[in-house]
Amino acid sequence: MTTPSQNLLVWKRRLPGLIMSAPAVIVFVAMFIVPMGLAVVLSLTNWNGYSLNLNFIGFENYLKAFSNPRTIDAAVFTLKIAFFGTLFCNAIGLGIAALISGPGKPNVLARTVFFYPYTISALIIGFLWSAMLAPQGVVNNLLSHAGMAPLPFLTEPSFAQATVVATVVWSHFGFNMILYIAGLKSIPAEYYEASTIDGASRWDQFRYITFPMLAPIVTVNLVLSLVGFLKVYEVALALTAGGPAGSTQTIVFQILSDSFANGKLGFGAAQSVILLVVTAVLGLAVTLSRRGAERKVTD
Amino acid sequence: MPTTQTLNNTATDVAAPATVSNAFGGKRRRKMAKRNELSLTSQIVKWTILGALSLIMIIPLYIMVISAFKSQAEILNNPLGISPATFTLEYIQRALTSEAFNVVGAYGITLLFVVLVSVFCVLLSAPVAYVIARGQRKWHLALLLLFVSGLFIPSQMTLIPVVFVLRVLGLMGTIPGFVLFETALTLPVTIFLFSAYLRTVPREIDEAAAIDGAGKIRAFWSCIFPLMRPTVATVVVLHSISVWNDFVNPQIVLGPGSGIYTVTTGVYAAIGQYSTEYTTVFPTLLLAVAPAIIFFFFMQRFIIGGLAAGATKG
Amino acid sequence: MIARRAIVAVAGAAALSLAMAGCGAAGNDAGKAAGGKTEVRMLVNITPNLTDKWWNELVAPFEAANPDIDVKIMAPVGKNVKESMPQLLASGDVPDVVQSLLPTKDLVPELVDLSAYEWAKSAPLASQNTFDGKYYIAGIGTQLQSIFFYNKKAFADAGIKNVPVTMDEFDADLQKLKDAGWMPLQTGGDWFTKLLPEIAGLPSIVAKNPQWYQDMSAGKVTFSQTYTDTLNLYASWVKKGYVPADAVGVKYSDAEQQFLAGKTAIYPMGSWFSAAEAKSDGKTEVGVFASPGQAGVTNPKMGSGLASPYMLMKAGKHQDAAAKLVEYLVTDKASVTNQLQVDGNFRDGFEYPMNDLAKELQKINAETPAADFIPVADGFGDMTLPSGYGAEFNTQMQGILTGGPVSTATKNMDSWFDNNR
Repeated sequence: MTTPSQNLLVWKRRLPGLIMSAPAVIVFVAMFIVPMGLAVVLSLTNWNGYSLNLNFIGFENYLKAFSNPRTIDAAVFTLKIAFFGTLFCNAIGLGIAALISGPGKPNVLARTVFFYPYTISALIIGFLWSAMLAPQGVVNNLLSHAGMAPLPFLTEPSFAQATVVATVVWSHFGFNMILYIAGLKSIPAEYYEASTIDGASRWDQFRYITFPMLAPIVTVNLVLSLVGFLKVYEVALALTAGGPAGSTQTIVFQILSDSFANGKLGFGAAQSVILLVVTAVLGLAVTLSRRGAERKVTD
Repeated sequence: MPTTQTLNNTATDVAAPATVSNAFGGKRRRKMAKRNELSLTSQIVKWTILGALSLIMIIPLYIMVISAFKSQAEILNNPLGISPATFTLEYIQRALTSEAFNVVGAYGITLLFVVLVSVFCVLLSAPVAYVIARGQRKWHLALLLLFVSGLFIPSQMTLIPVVFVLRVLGLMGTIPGFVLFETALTLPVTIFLFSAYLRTVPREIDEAAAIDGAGKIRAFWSCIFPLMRPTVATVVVLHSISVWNDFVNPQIVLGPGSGIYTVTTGVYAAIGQYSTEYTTVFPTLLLAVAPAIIFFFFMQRFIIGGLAAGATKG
Repeated sequence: MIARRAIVAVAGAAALSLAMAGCGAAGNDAGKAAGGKTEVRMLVNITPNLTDKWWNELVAPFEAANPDIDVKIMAPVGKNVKESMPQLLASGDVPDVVQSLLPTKDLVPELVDLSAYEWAKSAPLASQNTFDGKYYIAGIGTQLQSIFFYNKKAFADAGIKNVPVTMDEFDADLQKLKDAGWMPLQTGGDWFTKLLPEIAGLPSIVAKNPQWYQDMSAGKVTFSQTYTDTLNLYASWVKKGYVPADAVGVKYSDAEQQFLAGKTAIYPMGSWFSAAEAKSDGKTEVGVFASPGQAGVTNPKMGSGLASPYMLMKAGKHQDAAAKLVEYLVTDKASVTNQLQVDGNFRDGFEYPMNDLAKELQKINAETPAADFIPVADGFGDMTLPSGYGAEFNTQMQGILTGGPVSTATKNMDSWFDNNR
């Protein structure tokens, strides 16, 4: 049993820790946890955001989300972006990183060239490419100068989807590339020297040294890419405004530009809860499944 | 002389190995010679590929820059070229004095947000990361999990409900309200990185600071925090870029009624339905992007280095 | 040491940015209640006809006559006023006056009841637009919306002497135009893809079933039951190449320009286009005809709308001043005439100099029996569809325009109705 004065001492000891943690916790709870809870509660209602009548409708919004063709199409498209975006960003990022991870001015310059789009707002990148790929835009102009037919980059549904993925990859792979370069640089040179003496080919080196040692970086890149691409919105907004025929609407586009803009807050909240669950599941799944690969490195 | 002989021997060993068998087969000698040849061709191939890819990266930027100074007809007919005859400042001027939206005017507000969010982010994250890094009790782990969970929560999920929270607090459409929300969004990543970094700081420093008689809080800020410089730099750079480029959050939280436009929400308001009037689009885009590009150009080694360092540490 | 340098740097940056922010915000602050003025905020749609500049000029005489009131024109944050309203209402940042919206069940609790104001009760189409017997909006005139503008030279080239009066004639005329080397139909992406199928179909659909809106909202008939024929016709036009390639990439202002530049023969659009035509260089001679009836329909309805309705928001801060502004906008002769002329609208007793095209429209307006006027898109008054119908319909029409099957569009529309009734 502790005496009151002992209790006081304990609190006095803990006080600095509490004071140091309090601001962050308060802000985080107020701006993150409370809204998240609100979103879950809202998802069970049919509120439109302003009217005074609010009805609890149970899981109706969730059922609607899974049967609404628009939401399903948006979810499928978002998963396409996440999958192909991750694949290409990491493949291209790693490939180029392997080429320019060495020292020297040309390599450093190359890094700048490939990375700079990441520093520009996704919205602006969307507008820029929208202007370049428009039916009478720059690219089609050049194609017709070269005697080829113009391509429906933004006006044909499947083409538009591919264009969105390509734009996302264009602006993002530089980030993955930088992380891979950092990883490559941290592999001790002795490993390569030893294997060279043993007569390893470049490909062997990559397979048995580089790739395994990059395992943690690969995991980080995969998770970051997957989780990040599930949230694509601004590129779709600026590049195609979700068109043509709603084919390039991502799930976040659905939440913000469809549900919210039409006052269907409850439905939008349900969609965002689903997004949360999918993000968490995918992120965890990738992280856990890579544990095996990472363990091999430490062995 | 022994040295020369040794040298000669070493040279011979490397250049003309004879019979040492190894795990990958004994074709070393030929491979060595081949590698030198391959080097040259592979170098050429490598730089050709890189060159072609670089063009794909640079040309859009080039087009954006030159199109800002051309007329609509010129943009459509002669996309890649620019000449003194067709060069005009008229559209840039129009964009600078546009009534719909003033890009340059937004620089100030956006910069203010960047600075405020970075400052508050570090001010809030560093102490709690320290508590987490040094903490040994269960609730310290819970604290970390609380913030790390934020990494998986998409901000779009909290964005709309936050409108109501801010409304209750009376901060909707105001600068403090927006800064508060943006700061909250930066906390998970920052606390994660800071606590990972602080775990590598030896406890002896804590004890040294305590001996000096400073209170725990004072001790942290004056002795430990200065050691966090590299990771603070990484974090500030990362968040500066994301706050400057953020669109959705200011669009919803600041909204149209407040009259406060950041660079990105302003671009959206300015271009909106005029997206095929290239004489509006390109100058606006150029004005919006110029500070970011210039900042990146001067800070690139720092930015790229900081990111890389953050990645390997995390 | 580091701390001090950092503090200085941060303080410097903060000071600099505050200064720049001050410069930028100064422009905004000037609008706010300077010197005890009441600020009335009006949310409006900005279109090629109704520009930001024009709106400010429109309210200038009112501000001059009421020196204690300052009118601030707000542009939408999303695509248009309709999409911005939920966000504004949710954030509590409500303007005083909202233009271009019609009352819906959800919106009505937020609106000021205008029944006490005489100018609201005597405004055009006022009684057709009551909600639960009360007046919530006041408009400035009427617009015609199910009409086709055509290039007179194109019709001459194709040997078309009289404008078509049945859909079959219209269909045949399209082929004649194509054979004469003209691109028959001007359509595009953006928000107006839906106009072509809607104008072609709705007048006949409602003629066959005057209760169509109510029945659709109640679920007594479905979209696929009533619209499939029209959509098949529309899809056939797309297949036969009567619309420009990549039409879905054409924006509203570009479509207008293309038609005025003489690149296409027929332009389905509302009567506000006549204002744009009046401003053009007149090289293209434009005529207009009402949308013909489909097989078996002798009296196709006329899609119409209330031009520029204004509503007052309860949550607005200055209701009296706002009411004064709206009264000015719908009754002041000069202001009404200005709004009618700039956007091609009509109102008895308010004449403005009309060119030939506008006179043709005036004639159609006068010759249509009052009972034949029907709403389009989401509807108004008693004839309404679930909110958001217009936008969803537009998206599905884009699907057909890009070569998708009609069955997908009708299936999606049916499912949308099921979800939103």
